[in-house]
Amino acid sequence: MERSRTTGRVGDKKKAQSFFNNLTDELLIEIFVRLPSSKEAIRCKLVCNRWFSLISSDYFLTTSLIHHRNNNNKTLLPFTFVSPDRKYNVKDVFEFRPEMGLSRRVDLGFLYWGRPRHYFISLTESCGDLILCSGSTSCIDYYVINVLTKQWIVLPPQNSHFIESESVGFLIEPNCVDFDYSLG
Amino acid sequence: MASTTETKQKKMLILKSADNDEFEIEESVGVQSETIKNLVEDGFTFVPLPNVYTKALIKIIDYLKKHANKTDSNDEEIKTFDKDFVNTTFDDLFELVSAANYLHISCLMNMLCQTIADRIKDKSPEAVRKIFHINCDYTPEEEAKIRKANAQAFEGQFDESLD
Repeated sequence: MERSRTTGRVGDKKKAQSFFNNLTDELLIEIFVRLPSSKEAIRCKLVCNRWFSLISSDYFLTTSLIHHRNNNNKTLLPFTFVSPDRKYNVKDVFEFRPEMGLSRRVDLGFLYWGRPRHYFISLTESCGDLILCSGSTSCIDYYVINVLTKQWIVLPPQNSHFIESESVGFLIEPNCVDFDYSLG
Repeated sequence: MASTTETKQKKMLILKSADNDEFEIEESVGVQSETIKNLVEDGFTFVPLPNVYTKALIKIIDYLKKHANKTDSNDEEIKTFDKDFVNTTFDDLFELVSAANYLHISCLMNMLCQTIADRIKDKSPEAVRKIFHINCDYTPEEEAKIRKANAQAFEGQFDESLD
């Protein structure tokens, strides 16, 4: 079937290295999202600065979420929570059902019980029926909330060295939800 | 008579690699690549591929031919073919994944990325650096800081091999 005609070959040695330069950020992320869990991805942060920023990026978190959701029906939930803007007050969280589009506002007033008057809780990330919120006073507290059951937990405090420039999000493991402190 | 009609119906394409080798393939085989499909739709039958070298192109054409003839009965055969296809060196995998990405062959991309992920998942960061030909650009302090902040991820023994 093939007819082959050689008309001057490019040096094999010269091209060998070029494939690593061709591994674009996008391609690397395609590889990272296929690692079995966030543990392996975190370990890859130690490879170099470029990998660290790729794995800490929102783009990685989102791609990873979509990939694992599409590849594992167990995490495919009929709803997710969206906010018009990241870092928005949790009172403006909406429930989203694919078949219905954007639907009702979710009342998360229960989170404010017993809090100081100016306590502000903002939505950081959502995943299925779970949302990740942060509330700030003198330091930042993170909460993971199941909005359906109205159960919530406070995450243990983080290493304070990193608190100024952090980004956080959910990473999905095949059969459980794993929380990743992505520090960037 | 029947056979002449058959050959006439088979539209052919010529693919030209970055090192100027030309390969003739059936259009139906080639259009599994989105990049080629778009060119074919625009009326091209000669497809230069400046980012794909002969070595990778030969392998990819093999892959496309095998997958173009997918039926219900040869499922096992294709699985074995795929397994052999990815059983190669990291350098070859990187070359193939770049080519598959350029050609937009999503099933091949998925398989190659998954293979690379599976093969690096238990490796130490040092081994991963060598495999990807990356120089570490952290200071020892920065490295220690990342390890400390993510201690759990660095517990246990890791694979130091480079294959």
